[in-house]
Amino acid sequence: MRVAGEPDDLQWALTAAQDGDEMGFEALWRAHNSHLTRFLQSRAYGSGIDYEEVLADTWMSVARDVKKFTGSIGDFSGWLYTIARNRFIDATRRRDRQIKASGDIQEAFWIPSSTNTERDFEASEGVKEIITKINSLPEAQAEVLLLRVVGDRSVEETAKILKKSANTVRVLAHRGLTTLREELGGDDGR
Amino acid sequence: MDDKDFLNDPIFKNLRKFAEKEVVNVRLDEDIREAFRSASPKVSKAKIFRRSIYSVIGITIALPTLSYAHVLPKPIAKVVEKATHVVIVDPIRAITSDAPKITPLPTPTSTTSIPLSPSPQPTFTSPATPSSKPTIAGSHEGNEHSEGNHQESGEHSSGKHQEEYQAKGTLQENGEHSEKPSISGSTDYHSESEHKSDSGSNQESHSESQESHGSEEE
Repeated sequence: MRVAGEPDDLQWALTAAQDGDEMGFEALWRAHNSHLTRFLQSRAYGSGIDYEEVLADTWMSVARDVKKFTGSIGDFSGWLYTIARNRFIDATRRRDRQIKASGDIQEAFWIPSSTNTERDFEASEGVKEIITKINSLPEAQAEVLLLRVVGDRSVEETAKILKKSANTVRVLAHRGLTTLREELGGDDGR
Repeated sequence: MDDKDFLNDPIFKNLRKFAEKEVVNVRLDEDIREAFRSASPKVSKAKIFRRSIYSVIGITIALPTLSYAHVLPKPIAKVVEKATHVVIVDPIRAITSDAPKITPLPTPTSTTSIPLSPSPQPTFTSPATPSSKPTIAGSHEGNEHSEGNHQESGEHSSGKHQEEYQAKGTLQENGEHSEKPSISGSTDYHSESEHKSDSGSNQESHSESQESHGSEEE
């Protein structure tokens, strides 16, 4: 599973976007936005973080810095997910500060319930369940699984995004999958 | 585990379907579009140019002001003053000097500098002495002094006047004339006064002018 039009077809789009062409930027956005949205939806599910806010922040950063980006279209996807991950970490820290400030974890946790975290998340119960299980795994394992499965990143790309070696990524993915199998008890994630 | 096997694991079946599902009814946000436009190279170049101009104007105003307020350290203030002179004062002077000059009003001249006519008599332009060359001033002390006197008082090449004097034969008592016509404009008042005493009152008008110079000396 690859992002539509990637990699060679979108090289022109990247070059055009770097030259200030809005059409090029829009083509990049169209090619990557769907997978990125699903990745952030999955990542933010149940965390109380507004994935749309993180998504918007990510694209804002890309829009501002795309001309500074040096690399091919293949590297662009990795760069995009790195930004998304960083923005998500920022959002997590903001949420943690809110929790600390309010003193009541439950109250703080429910603040974003009216946001896009749960709402408009059109997925079957089986999907929601497996996403919840993945997010309950250790941070590194959850990140690897979601990047690999939902973000459609290869082992090498995932390793680059997480700043880990490819072998570490493979090990983390394997451990995560084993834990999921145990927890779901042979259920296929439906 | 192989990468392909990992992705095709039945546990992820529905999750992969969810990931592949297109997000519908989504348009590129206008804020993101705007962020992209404002970050485009053309815009940033224009922005940099505009900001540089503002900075230069700001510095041009601020530095001289700080310098005149004695806020800046002396060496920097000196440099700023020099730069201000070169950048502002000199061009303004150059512009004003290029502009058509306004004829100044005639300034009142002191009575001492008004040339007195050597004599009320009509002057003759033809030389009285049979000199081959028109002698303006001789090498004689007295003549030198008289020349200087005339030049000083009249402020012009006093050849004509001197010729007139020569025609009257009043200044050439000693009769020795230099071959070269010397028009050296000596304005030495002291020597003039000396001349007064040396040459005596050969001419009434001449002595008058000498008197006026004498009073100047005092």
